[in-house]
Amino acid sequence: MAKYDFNNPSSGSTSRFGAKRSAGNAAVPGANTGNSKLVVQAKEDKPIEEKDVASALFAPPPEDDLGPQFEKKRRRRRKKDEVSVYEEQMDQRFAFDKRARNTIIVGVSLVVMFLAALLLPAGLFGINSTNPTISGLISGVSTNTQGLLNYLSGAAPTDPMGSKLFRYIIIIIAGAALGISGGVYQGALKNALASPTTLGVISGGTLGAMAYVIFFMPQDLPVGSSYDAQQLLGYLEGLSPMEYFTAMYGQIGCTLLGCFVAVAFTVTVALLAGKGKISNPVLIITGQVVTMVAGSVMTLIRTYYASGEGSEVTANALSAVRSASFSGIYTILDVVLMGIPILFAIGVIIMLRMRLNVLTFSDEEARSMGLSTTATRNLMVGACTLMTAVVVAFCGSIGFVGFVVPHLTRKVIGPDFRYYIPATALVGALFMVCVCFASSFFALEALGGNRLLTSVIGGVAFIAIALSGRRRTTTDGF
Amino acid sequence: MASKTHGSVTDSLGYEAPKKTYASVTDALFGKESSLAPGQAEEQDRRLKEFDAALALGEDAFEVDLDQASIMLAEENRELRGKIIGCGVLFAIIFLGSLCISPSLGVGFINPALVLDALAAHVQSFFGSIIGQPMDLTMEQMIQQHPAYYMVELRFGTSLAAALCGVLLAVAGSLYQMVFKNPIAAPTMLGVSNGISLGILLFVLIFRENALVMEGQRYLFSYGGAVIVLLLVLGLTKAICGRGKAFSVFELLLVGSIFSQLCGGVVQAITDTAMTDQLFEVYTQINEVTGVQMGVAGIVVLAIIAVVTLVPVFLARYAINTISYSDLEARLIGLDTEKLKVACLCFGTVMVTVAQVAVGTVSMIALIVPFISRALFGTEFKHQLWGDILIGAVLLLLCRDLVVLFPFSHMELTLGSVVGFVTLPIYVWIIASKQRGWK
Repeated sequence: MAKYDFNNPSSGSTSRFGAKRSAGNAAVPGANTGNSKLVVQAKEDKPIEEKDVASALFAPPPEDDLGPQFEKKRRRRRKKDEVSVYEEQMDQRFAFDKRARNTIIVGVSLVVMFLAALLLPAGLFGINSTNPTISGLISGVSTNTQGLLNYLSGAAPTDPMGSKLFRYIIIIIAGAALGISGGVYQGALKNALASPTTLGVISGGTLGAMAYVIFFMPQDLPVGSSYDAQQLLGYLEGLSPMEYFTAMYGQIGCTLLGCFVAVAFTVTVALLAGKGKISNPVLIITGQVVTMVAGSVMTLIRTYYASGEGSEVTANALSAVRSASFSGIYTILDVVLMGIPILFAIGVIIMLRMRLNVLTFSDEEARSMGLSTTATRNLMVGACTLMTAVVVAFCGSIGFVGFVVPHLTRKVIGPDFRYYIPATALVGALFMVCVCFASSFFALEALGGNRLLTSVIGGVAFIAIALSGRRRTTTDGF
Repeated sequence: MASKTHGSVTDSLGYEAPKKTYASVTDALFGKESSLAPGQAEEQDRRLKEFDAALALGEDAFEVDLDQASIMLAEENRELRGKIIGCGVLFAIIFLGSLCISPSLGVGFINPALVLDALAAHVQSFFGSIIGQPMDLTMEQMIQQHPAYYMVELRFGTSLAAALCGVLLAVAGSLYQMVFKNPIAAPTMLGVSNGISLGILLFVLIFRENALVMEGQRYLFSYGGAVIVLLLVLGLTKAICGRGKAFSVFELLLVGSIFSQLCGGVVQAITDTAMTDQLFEVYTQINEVTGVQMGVAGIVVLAIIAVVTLVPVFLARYAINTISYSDLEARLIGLDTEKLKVACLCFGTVMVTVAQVAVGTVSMIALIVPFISRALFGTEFKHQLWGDILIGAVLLLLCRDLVVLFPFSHMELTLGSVVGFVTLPIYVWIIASKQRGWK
């Protein structure tokens, strides 16, 4: 059976570990049998032993699941004879290179996009731009570079480039966090349709933000559809530190509270159902129910303000709550407040990412290897929930990124969590930077920029990558 | 214990009436509906004897003897019948009750005696000509003689549509959850929902304020949008799966959900920019189907499609049951589950499209009713289907009545939000009573 797996990495549940085993550095202790020895041997003395290895590998054909596809594949391989074994090994060795290569490509393009987003002037080639010229582009880049250098050297601490820098740093952090948490949710809950919205975090957070706007927000705070950064700066100038803090972080605090209340409700109901143990399906269904009920409450609020009751300011602020626009003013304090919990959670997840591979086994299999899936799952889901809550609090409700980026990454990198987790972070960050950059560069904010672009870029990228990968023989991405 | 049970099996079998015993075995395994051809029966007698001989050799192959099994099955059937009758009675009461609610917004009731009188008049005017007692009265005379005549007509249409949509949504949700074995897989995930929104958006942009009164075109645009998006999703999935390869149902779901997000983004961008507040109001009203009375044509279409989709699913409920087995097991029984899955998805999609055009986005029903039904009727689809039909009808009917009874700040709430509020306590109650619905 083990030999069969090696021959045909596309078959069955062991497939995702097929590639690993053949390289001799399996993540799973105990699952590694004579198979890898064979391969190591084959690597050491390739030209002589190839034929023997081939006969050893092909000797017992699997009796139980001989599909027509497998039959065809095997016949093709027999024609090629022993060369195919060598090729296959090369393929598998190349697979590692490919993963590393793809990760590096994503990382480099992230850096490039980050710089481009920072330095290129906003709105030059937009729908309403009056004079889109190349010279305007160049002068804009030079102005921005100058401003950024001035800000960084401390010469001009009020330069708008500072806020832009921090905004894009926050965008990168948010994208990485959402990407990772989507991937981890999908792995830990064993559900490919899971996303950061699944447990009701994002809906709860939005509801919390709405509650802040309705009950606590000072009526003269310039927030809403007529949002202007300069106006907000003017408003903030004359405040005492305490008032300043409340004005800046009141909504964020309420959002966080909303997130945690929603998740606490979900987990409590799931605990109630499982008599102290949380089972994945109950957790997911409860999360869905919480999401939908929160949606109902939002509809209620929308209906109330649509009927003309309530103040105009609140209605405007409410409509701003629902969109993630990244149009605020970001300071280094924001970056620190947002970065510390997220980087902590990302660190934990990256350190323990080996264990996520084990979570894809059934509970019994994992237990037989001496690992507790429940504890790992709870830790992972908890860390991801924390990340998502922080992102929702600082950036608004952006959930789709957490669904599409993990699937995109799986198509590019494959499902092995050791490579997958860092790659999702990079892809998520790249994705968010692209979206926000396109939104500001082409002045699409009026079109609901981020939401539109997130779905359009995400959808098109997914479909393009899926179409380009269709000739691959396996479902693993290799 | 084992040998004792074993002995009772051989004793109870005897060879006097092997046919009957075999029938009870098949009943226990595949449900009541197994009729055997004469030649088959002999063949199966032979197999039964072989089976028996194998039993004599083996140690403890059977834990429950066959008489016990048939008694258990009969008990289970009786219990199921009781539950179905209970839910049916509940539905009848709620349906009659909903006829007694005044069709205008706000708390108002009609005298039940008047309602019964008007119902009788309706029945007589519909069927009277057949039995030779026609009622040749004009509408005015009818209303004079039976004061609730017109109101009951209105309410009957609304209630029937709500109940039918509840059934359709619940069964569609159940089918999707069966196929994907995944509670997140909502039947709207293939892009139907956003397709309808897109169609309605186009419709509103073309016909402006007139859109509210043009019922025929509304259906045309809604179904057109849904079909176009669905075809795009199917085509893309086919392209992604590649030619000559198996059509992956999961890939379909993935492409569908991502594509429907894309449509949602486009819809939001258009509503944010290209629409005035007034038009947006019209769009919301049509999309959420608030304050829109269904015409006779709409109800007839709904009823026809409901029958066309529900009857095959109901007849095939034993076959659909096998989807929950693993593929290998199903293949051993001789069923091609892949085709069955695609058929289920098709039926589910049609159901959810029709229901959404009629009552708006009510995704909660498709998620929660299968859950409740599983908790009450068990996890087998052949039993669960009964629960889906009855509970779905009851729940949506109830919520539709609540929408009419309790307006929120002079406006009709959307059905979706009311469903949310109603189902949360039911869900928590079921969870708390420790009846685990999902395995």
